[in-house]
Amino acid sequence: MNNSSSLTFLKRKANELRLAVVDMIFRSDISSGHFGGSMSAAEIVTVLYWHQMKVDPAKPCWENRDRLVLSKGHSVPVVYAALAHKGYFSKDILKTYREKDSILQGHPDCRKTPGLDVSSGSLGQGLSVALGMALGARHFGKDYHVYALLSDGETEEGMVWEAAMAAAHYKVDNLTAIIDYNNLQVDGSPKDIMNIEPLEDKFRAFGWGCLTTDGHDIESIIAAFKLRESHKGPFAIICKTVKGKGVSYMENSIEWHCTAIDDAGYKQAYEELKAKI
Amino acid sequence: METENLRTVFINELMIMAEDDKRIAVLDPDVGSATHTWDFGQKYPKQFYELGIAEQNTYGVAAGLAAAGCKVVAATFAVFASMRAAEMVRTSICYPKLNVKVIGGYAGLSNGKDGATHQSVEDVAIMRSFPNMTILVPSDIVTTKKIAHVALEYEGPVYIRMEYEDLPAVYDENMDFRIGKGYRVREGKDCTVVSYGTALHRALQAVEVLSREGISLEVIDMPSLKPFDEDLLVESVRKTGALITIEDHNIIGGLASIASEYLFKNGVLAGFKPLAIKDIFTESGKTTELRDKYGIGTKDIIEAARELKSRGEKR
Repeated sequence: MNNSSSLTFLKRKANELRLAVVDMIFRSDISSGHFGGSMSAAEIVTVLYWHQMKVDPAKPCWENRDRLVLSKGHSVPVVYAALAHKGYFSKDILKTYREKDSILQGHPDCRKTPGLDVSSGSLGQGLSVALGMALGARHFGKDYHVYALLSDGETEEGMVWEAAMAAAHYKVDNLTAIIDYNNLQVDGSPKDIMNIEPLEDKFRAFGWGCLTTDGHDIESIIAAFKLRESHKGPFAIICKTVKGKGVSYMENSIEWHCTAIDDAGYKQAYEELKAKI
Repeated sequence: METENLRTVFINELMIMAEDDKRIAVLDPDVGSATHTWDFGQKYPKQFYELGIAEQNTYGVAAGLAAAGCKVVAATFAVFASMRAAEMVRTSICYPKLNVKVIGGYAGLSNGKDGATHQSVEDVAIMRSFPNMTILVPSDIVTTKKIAHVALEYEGPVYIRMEYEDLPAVYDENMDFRIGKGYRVREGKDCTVVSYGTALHRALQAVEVLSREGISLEVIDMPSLKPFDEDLLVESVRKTGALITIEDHNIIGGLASIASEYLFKNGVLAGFKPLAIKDIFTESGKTTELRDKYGIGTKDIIEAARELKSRGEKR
């Protein structure tokens, strides 16, 4: 695959994952789930699974694999979509999202879903777990990388900064935090709910490298990861995104954080996303 | 009688094991001089992680290290492990059943002087409500050594509740320690005393006094609070018809609750005197003075046994 066809593939894949998110939620028994933060993270997750992370779907517990800690666990539909598209499990299973007896819980359960590295969903805990994994690589002389995907609102949790302080103290080169900055938390925009700015400065002040990029531009995300490689110590990539990205009526809408979708909504979302694939 | 502090015994065993086991990782949120994990850190700096005054992060990092293959021992005061870090222990450690040993030091009233903020009388109630959690409590030098080994061999979360006190050995070094097993330390016929942790020593002192009065106590130590040796409890209380539970813990959610649940479940009705902190915040003082003040000292066991005995005779 040359560079431009690779980019075309990744752009297309991100929208395939979005369609899979809408599809899995619509087809699940109560047609309800976390749309907004899944749609905003589609390019990030695509780049991680199809470009950045060293993983093997045939060996989900491979010791040397790179790890993804989905600290913003509610956005797991887009990760389920990625795992199914990578071949960790059948795409047919996606429609059982949040149903009784399903391997696809409402928030990540790594004991149920092949390919998930961590159980998560209580915001604020993931960066610490990711740091532990990064230190674990060092402990056993391995060189895998650990990626932690956080939401913007999640950085309001104090524990995130305990982890940030410790990661810089331990100078971990193999830990990268990605902030899906979709600018909407449950009750509104962070600037109204609890101002998190200046976020880049905060990470820098805690001893991290940090840059901000367009979280829907595949080339920019790849470039950010490339730049990260030359940095020693922990690194944060702030990805500016749009909550609900890809479906017009979901974009920048607080209502589409977690909700139900009806037939008409599904039809429109399907058509809008299908046109992008 | 030769005594030794339980924390010293525990850390020494851990250091012996770490000699051959590089998977062991010890975490410390800046209480290493109190938990004695510093001794471990001096000897094995590559297996020791200082995390500063940040218990939430410490137990999150513990989860990550365990997920990466370490046998993690994360030690702090029981009050902080069970409360400040409760959700990390529950969601990041117990839910994925990760191999983390949570050490709750200075449990109960064993940190007397520091007062209620540092005394842990809720930890058993909290920790035992987490699925996948095992709870072990050493009562002497021997059980401390055994628990260090058994907990590290077991794959999964364990809460080790430790009262940091100088104590003698009660058990023989060759005892068969197993998770889920209780131990009949003294045979008796009039009343069963069930304890965990250092309360065993108060129960044994009570045995001496009461035997002179013709009251025969059966003393059972339950170093495995979860899973719990239901059979031993039921068998003993069926025999004696009377039960005293004694613990450095609130009366809500600890041994008094556990014993009640199992006895009722098994249809055992008996005279019952639960000796525990009576749902109040405790205060500063010497540990022994506080135990007497809050009704969990040796004299309280003696009085409870006398009362149960006289009730039984009236019946």
